[in-house]
Parts: sequence; C-alpha cells; structure tokens
Amino acid sequence: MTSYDDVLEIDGLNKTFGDRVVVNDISFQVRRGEIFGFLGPNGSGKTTTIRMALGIIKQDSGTVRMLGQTPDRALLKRVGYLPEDRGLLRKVKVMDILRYLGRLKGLSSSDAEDRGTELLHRVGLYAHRYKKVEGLSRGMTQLVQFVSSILHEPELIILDEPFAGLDPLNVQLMKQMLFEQRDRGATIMFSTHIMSDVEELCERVALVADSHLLLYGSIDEIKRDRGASTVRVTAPSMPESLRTGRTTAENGVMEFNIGEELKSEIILRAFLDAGIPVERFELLLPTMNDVFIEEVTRARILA
Amino acid sequence: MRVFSPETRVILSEEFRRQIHRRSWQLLTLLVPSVLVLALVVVPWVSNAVSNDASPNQLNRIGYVDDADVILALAIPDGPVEFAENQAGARALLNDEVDAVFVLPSNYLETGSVLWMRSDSGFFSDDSLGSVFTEFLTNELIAGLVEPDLLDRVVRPAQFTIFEVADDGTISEEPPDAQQAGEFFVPFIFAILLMMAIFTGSGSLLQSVADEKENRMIEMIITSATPLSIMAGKVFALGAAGLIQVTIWVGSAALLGPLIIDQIPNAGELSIGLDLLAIVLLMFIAGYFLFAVIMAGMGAATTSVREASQISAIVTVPAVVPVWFSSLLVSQPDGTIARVLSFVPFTAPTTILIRLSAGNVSALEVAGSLLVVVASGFALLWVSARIFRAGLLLYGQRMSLRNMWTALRQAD
Repeated sequence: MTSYDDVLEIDGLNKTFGDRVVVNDISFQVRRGEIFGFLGPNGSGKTTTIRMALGIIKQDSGTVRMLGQTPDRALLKRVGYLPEDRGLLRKVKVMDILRYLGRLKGLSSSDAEDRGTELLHRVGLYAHRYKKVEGLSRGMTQLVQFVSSILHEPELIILDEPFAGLDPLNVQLMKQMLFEQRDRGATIMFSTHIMSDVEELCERVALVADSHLLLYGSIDEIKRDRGASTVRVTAPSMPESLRTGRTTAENGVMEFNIGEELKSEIILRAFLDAGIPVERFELLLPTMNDVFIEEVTRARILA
Repeated sequence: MRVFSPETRVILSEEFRRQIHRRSWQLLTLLVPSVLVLALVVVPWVSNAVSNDASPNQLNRIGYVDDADVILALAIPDGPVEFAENQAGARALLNDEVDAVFVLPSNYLETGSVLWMRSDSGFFSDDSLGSVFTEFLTNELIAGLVEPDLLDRVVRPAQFTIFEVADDGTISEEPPDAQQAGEFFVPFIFAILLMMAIFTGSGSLLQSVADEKENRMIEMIITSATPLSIMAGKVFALGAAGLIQVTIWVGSAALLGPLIIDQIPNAGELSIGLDLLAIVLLMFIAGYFLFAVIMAGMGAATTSVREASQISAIVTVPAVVPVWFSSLLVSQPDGTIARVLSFVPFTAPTTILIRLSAGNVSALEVAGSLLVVVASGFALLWVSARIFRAGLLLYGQRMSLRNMWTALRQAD
C-alpha cells in the first residue's frame, strides 16, 4: 500500500460554467483519519468541488489526488459518497438497492446483504428492508442512502450536506455513526453550512464563499488567530457605563462583544471603578458561526 | 472502454432481477401460454359444437319444388324432400323440417333461375346448402347422359396439386394449408409481440435511466461504473428478460400448439421450419436490443422521467410504421418499400417479420438486415453512453448546442 498522510489533496482547482466562475483556485488537503469540514454558504462551489474530486465533472485546471493516487474508478471503489441531491429508485426495495450499490463497490451479494442488514439495524430501518423506497419517509430514504455510502467500509467518506433534512434524532444518530466510521480508520469529509455540526465533529475545515477559499486550517488555530470576540463576566450587577446594545445578561452572567471601542481592559476597569465584585472574567474565542458570518460578509463586501 | 466489465455484469444482474419482477413483464410473458391453454380448452368445445351443428347428410335438410320436372331423385335414398307446391315447402321450413327449399320454376331449363327459400337471412346466413343443392341438381340433370364412372369427374372435374417455381428455378410442391398458416402467423404474431414488448419492456428501461438521473442516484453509480457499463448492463438485462420471454412463448407454442391442432378436424399437421423459427427469434432479439438501446439513449438525453416518457412515445413510432404498410408488405414482400424498410434500422425488425409471414425472404437480405440492426444497436449504445456522460458533465450549465458538443467531446 502506498504511504500517504493526505487522503485527499485538492490543488488549484478551477471550474467555470459559461462565463460564471464556480470554483476559483481552491486547494486543501484532508488528512488520514480526520473528520474534515468543507464549509460555505449555498452556491459557494462546495458541491462542484466535490463532484470534481470524484470525477463526476471535469475541472478546467488543477489536480486531485486521492488515497495517494490520481483517482480512477478502481480507486473510487474505496470511497463512499453521499450526494447533495438525495434520491433512490422509488420502485425498488431497500435491500435490493443496498445490494446493488454494494456490489458496484466490489462486495459480493451476500456480503452486501449482510452489511446492509447490520447497518439497517443500526439506523433502525431493519423492519423496512423489504419495503420499496416509495414507502419510506424522506428522512428514512436519506438514512438508507447514507448506509449505502458506508456499506463497503470505504477508506474515504465524502458526504455532501449529510444532515440537511434530517430530524435532530437522526442527525445525532448520523453523527455517532460518523465517529464510529472514523474510529474504524476511515477519513471523512463533509460539506455543510451549519456551524454547530462543524464545531461538534471537525478538527480542521476549509471555508469557501463565492468560489474562493477563504479559510483553511484547524478550528482552534482559526479561532485563536482571530482573538477573543466576547468577554463573559460573572458578577452581581452591571456597571451603568457598560449598558450598551452589545450586551447580554442572565442570572448574573454577562457577555460583552468586544471590538475597537469596547476592549476587555475597559470592561474590567468599569467593574472595578463601580466597586462591583467580579467572580469570573473570561475571554471567549469566536464561534465558528461568528467566523463564518464575518468571513463570508467580508468577502462579499470586497467582491 | 469495455462493454462487458464486472460492473456491467452487476448492473445486468440487478436490472434483470428488477425487470422480471415487474408486473407488466410477467403479464406479457404469461399472455401467450395463457392464450394457448385457453385455446386448448376452447378449440375442442368449438369443434364439437360445429360438428354437432353440421348435419352428416345435408341433403335431407333440403327441400325442393320441381315445377320444371327435371328431378328424378331415384339415385339418392336419403335425399332432399320434394314438395308439391311452395306453401308446403314454406310450412316445412317454419316447422324446422328442412333448412332450405329450392323452387325450380317451369322455365328453369331456359333461364337457369332457381328460387331459394330459407328461414334465416342476412350476412351470417349459411350459404353452403346452395352448393349442396347445385351438386345434387347437376347429378340429376346429367344422370343417364354420362357414364356412371365419369359422373364424379363431371361434377368435380379438377383436384389441384400446386407447385411453386422459386426465383432460382427449383420447383417444389406447395406446403399444405396448415403449414402455410403457420408460416404466415408465426412471424406476424412475433411482429405484433415485438411491438408489445418494445412498448412495455424498453419503456421501463427508459424509465429506469431517467429515474436514476432525475433522483441523482446516478451520482453514486457513476463513481463505480463507466457510462458504457451502465448503459450496456441495463440494455443487456432487458435483452435477457426479452430472451426469456420469447423462450417461454416459443416453448409453450411448441408444447401446446400440436395439441391444439389435433383438436381441429381436418386441420392436417402444423409444421414450422426450424430455419424460419431461428430467423424469427434472431430478428426479435435484435429488434428488442435496438429499441432498448434507443430507449436508454432517450433516458440519457432527457432530464426528467416525464420528459423521457413523452419522447418515448415518438421514438416507438418507427416500430409501428411497418404495420401501417403491412398490407403492402404482405402483397409485395419483395417490393421496393419492403426492401428499403428492411434496411432502415428502426423499421427493419418488424418489416422482416411481416415479410417473412408473406413468403420467403432471401437469406442474404435477412442476414444484411440483422447486421444493420445489431450494428446500429452497438453504435447507438456507444452514443447513448457518451450522451449519458455528457449529461452529467453539464451539471449546472445551460443545455446549449455548444455546451452539449463540448461535453460530448469531453465524455469518456
């Protein structure tokens, strides 16, 4: 087996549809064994980048390496993929679809059915295994499609907006299963614009907007680079001088959004000057939601 | 690019499984054996009814009034009933003592005019009693004038044995009626069945391709199989299902056909040449394959199941065109139109089947036509795969001719 640290290497990908630039010089790497978040607002070029990575559409320029090689169909059998646009053949039974897709990934019929049975148990759809897809709810269909993408125990799993349309319970279930997949040694990359999912699952991310790569790296580094964005103070009351619109207070815990005018030292000084005892004073790093909004907004202003 | 890749075999087996579980395929497959089983029950019943209706001696169901005084009726003991006048004959008709009364007026010998009275009239009336009476009358008129040995020859002077002179000069006895019937009906029935199979079977293939494209499942499949493997797998699956279908039809016909023929009195022996049967089967499979490829291509070129279904109605028209010309193809199986339609890929399968029902088609023409159909099928399979791939490459782009051309060139 070839030795490699980066399971997926995207280097300088470009794609235009007619006159519209959809992907502009995007580069990033997904490391072996990590859960990688590919972030961006709707229409930012995430899905097109994923489709190019998988060879579904061709890039105008740039290269893709996967599992240490230039991807071909034999290599793609070691990859699991859940497309953004969901759907399965409506008139076909669940187990038939799993066997079909499993066999296309190189499993035998019996292995595909055994793995399908096991995973359907896991997602609570075992009782529906001989039902036609048209008899399932949208969420159930999505789970079946997710099962089909991990059926063959792929080394790399690429999921395009995997949680969209799922109820909170199924989102939780899918997240647990992603952790299980990672624990067995798979590398996972998923696209999303829901930042709470990113904070929960990922160590590293790439953020794209309007076809450009805006940020790339570990979440901790990205947050640290930006510095603290909020000060949280636990105190019995709030000084009059800090009662501004950028403040929240609940049960003696106050949060202040800091910026050019309101710095952390000013906040602390205000409490001391007012003689209010401070039990706790914390500098909070920005959330990924803050980072996402700030970066995308800035990119759109500059565009 | 390989047509028979491992992925082709997977798609073939899975699609085949889906095909044969379809209700419409099962119904069409069982149609022929069911009709034959029904015939096996109905034919003896109809034969019995017909033979019961028909009197063994129709002569004694005939009456006559001989005002011309030409009938002696000495030679036939159980012959027609003579009535003295018309009213008596009419009464016998109404009492169902006879089925027809023929009146020979006094000037019969000069005019040949005969009045025919019967209780039922109309389009479906039985006219056979007229022939029976004519033969009886002929016998009466010439009785005594001709030697008894010659009497039968005068009444029935010629029993024909027909010989056919082929294009190459060979002379052979024309086959019996039952065989001719078989040679006419077998290809013709297969032409009709081919159309039915095209409408049902290949329609489902179009649905399958368009469905996978519309619901984006194809994105998962295309990462594992080439467009050519996908197309070939689907088409060959439909072909395999068609082969099984036709095998069941032919098998049931071979098994039940002779039993049915045995039930028909004087039907002779139904025999169909193996060479004809082989040609019919090959043409059927080739036609089925070609239209499956066309449907797959249509599914690949369209963007939704609805759009694909609308287009499929137009695409199947060429299969029906030869049926529109069927009377011409049957009357002139070697005519220009017949020959042209035999070499147009879309009309060739049905045309050849109809022409075969009308008479011999040269082996060279059949082989040429088969070659055109099969070669067109494989060429279109390749084109369909490229269209299919181009459709995927055009995600998010406007479907302009320029974009399509670019995508077609990039497709592999």
